[in-house]
Amino acid sequence: MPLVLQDATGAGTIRRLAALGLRRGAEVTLLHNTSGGGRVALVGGTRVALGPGVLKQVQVEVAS
Amino acid sequence: MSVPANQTLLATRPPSVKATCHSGGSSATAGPEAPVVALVGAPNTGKSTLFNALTGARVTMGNWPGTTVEVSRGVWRSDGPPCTCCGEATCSCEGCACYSGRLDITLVDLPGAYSLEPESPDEALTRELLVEGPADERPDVCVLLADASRLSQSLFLAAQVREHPTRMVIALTMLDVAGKQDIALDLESLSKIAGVPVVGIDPRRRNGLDDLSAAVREALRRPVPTPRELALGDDEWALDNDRFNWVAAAVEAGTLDPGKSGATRSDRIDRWLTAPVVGPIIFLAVMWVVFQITTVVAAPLQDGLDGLVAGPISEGASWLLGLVGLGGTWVEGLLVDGLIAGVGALLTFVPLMALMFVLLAVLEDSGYMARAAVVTDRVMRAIGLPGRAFIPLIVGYGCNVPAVSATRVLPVAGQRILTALLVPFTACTARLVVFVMVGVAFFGPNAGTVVFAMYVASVLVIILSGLVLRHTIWRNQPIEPLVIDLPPYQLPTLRLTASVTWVRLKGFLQTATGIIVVTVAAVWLLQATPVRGDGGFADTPVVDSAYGVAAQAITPVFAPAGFAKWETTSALVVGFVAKEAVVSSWAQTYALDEPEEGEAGALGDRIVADFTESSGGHPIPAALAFLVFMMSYTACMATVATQWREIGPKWTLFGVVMQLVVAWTLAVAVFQIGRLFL
Repeated sequence: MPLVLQDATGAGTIRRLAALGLRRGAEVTLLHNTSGGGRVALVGGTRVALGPGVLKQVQVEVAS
Repeated sequence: MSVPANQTLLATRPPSVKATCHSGGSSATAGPEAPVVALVGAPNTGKSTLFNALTGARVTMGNWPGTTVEVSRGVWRSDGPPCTCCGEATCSCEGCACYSGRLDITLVDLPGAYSLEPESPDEALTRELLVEGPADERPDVCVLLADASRLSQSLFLAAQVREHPTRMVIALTMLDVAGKQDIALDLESLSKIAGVPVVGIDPRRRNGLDDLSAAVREALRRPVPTPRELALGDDEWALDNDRFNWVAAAVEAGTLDPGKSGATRSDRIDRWLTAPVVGPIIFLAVMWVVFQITTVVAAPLQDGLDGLVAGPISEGASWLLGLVGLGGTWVEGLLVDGLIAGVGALLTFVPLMALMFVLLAVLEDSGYMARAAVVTDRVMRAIGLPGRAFIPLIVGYGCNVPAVSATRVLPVAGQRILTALLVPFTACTARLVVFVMVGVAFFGPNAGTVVFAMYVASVLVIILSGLVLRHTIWRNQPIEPLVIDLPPYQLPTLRLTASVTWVRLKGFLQTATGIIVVTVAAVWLLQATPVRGDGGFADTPVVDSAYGVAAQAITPVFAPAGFAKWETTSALVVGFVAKEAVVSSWAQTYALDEPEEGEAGALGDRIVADFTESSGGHPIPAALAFLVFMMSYTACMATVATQWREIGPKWTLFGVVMQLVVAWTLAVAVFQIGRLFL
């Protein structure tokens, strides 16, 4: 299910996410859960494992 | 001592890829006149593989001066295409401008970077060397590696480099992975939009390297391009948006078919390898294999080498010295017991280190390392380290020396230093031998429990030291939340693994040889020099040697810990050089036979008697204090030498002092509390 990334906090984290293609308005697909309470996100062909800390900071909405 | 986060800025003059001072002795460059080409790109794009493929063994690897960031340099012997007018590989036609013939290029492998924003010391150094230094100090051409299977992510860095007056060639890797996902690219259109040449390469199979060579040589002949105009001012968001728009346009133009976006084979594997419960179990299984290989497989090789050095090589040297009339003299002592024994001790680490480097290369190259980092993240985060730090710590329980080298799996210098300082607290197998001998002597049938308790104590000391360091020296080092890119799984290639292993092994030997040989020779010299009694040079009982006298002088330090006996102090000093030598040092100073492995023998009885005396009738707490000291003080000279190479002299000395303080404090606490009860 494609989702829209809305916001994140922490300038360093925002930049790192952006460099991996996860930026405001980007379409992401959330894949499976990971050990430690995180999740793998698919964005533009890149698989990014996100920890629970990041997931809490990021808001996503279901794309229509 | 401060947080090393900004260590890259310590160099007094602006860092430059063209500077010739590069730590690690003789520098592999193609000479001062040769063009300098820098490889840049995100981690996992095949940058190091390309570097290895282009340079072969002509490389120097080492930390950039003043930093703990590793930068490799090498010579790229680039053969040009055959001449267009004469068809020869090396053209000598008069006035011909075909530029064929060999061109030696100094190739610099810059640290992996996702962007030019300096988020880590690695990225900061890449930024400085690439775009911040004076124009004539920058690389002549920058080869930017971009992963074809995820073009939009890889081109962000290209967008930033294009904003600077830098010649750039984009090398697309992972075309095979992209192909499997049915992604079709149009390199020519991509090149037109990006305004720089684009070539497709496969560094793992060495395909496309001639095209890359041609593109770089072509770029060298062209003037430096004008930087891309930025639409808006300095606003961060606007800048980033502008870059993303550029990337989007380039991807749009360069992609014929975006491919299928369904679950790949890597996704299906990841569903298991990173899953809750199953993921950690698989990780522990992988670590068990790594541990087995670095202990069980390496042990016979180490024993074999040790036997070779102690037997035929030492005997051969003695025989040769006997032939020239030096048999039985101090020259024989210095050469055979000092230098050959020292070099031999170092050599026994070689198979172990080689296996360790192979394992690391395989874990990295296959893509599993990123998954291991995800699985262990939560546990390691507790002591302020990322998940990957688990690997060096596990390896440390086999041997600390490869474990310190394994801290290279950590991307940030501060984390590398912290982990390298914690590794020596892992109870390696050489210490196990001492644990068992002392355990059997003092605790008889309960020795197993005591040895197990030492392992538990070792884990506790690591956690506590980690926490203390996190809240003191590393107070300001933030723990980044877990954001990690999972590269597709690949089969590791033999050639890459072998070349990485060889280069790292060479680096280890270069640094460690000097330190170990000097230390071993110094110990021999001190033991050979009589300071009292009537023994001659190299013919004196240890108790009368400079070494014995020094050990006796240090001994009162251990009175509060209950084991103030000079024979034990002497064994501890030898243990500073190598833990393998502790039991034999006791045997030597007490002039008793070394007990069989797993027994305590007459030597054990003698130590128990001495500990009973020195502890005022509390031998059990004194033995426990000794074991705790043994577990936590300096692992061995080889570990110190490896730390020296990995984290520099300042942090190495800090680590040695910290360990001695921790070891002594713990030993005193154990004895003083223990003697109230035992």
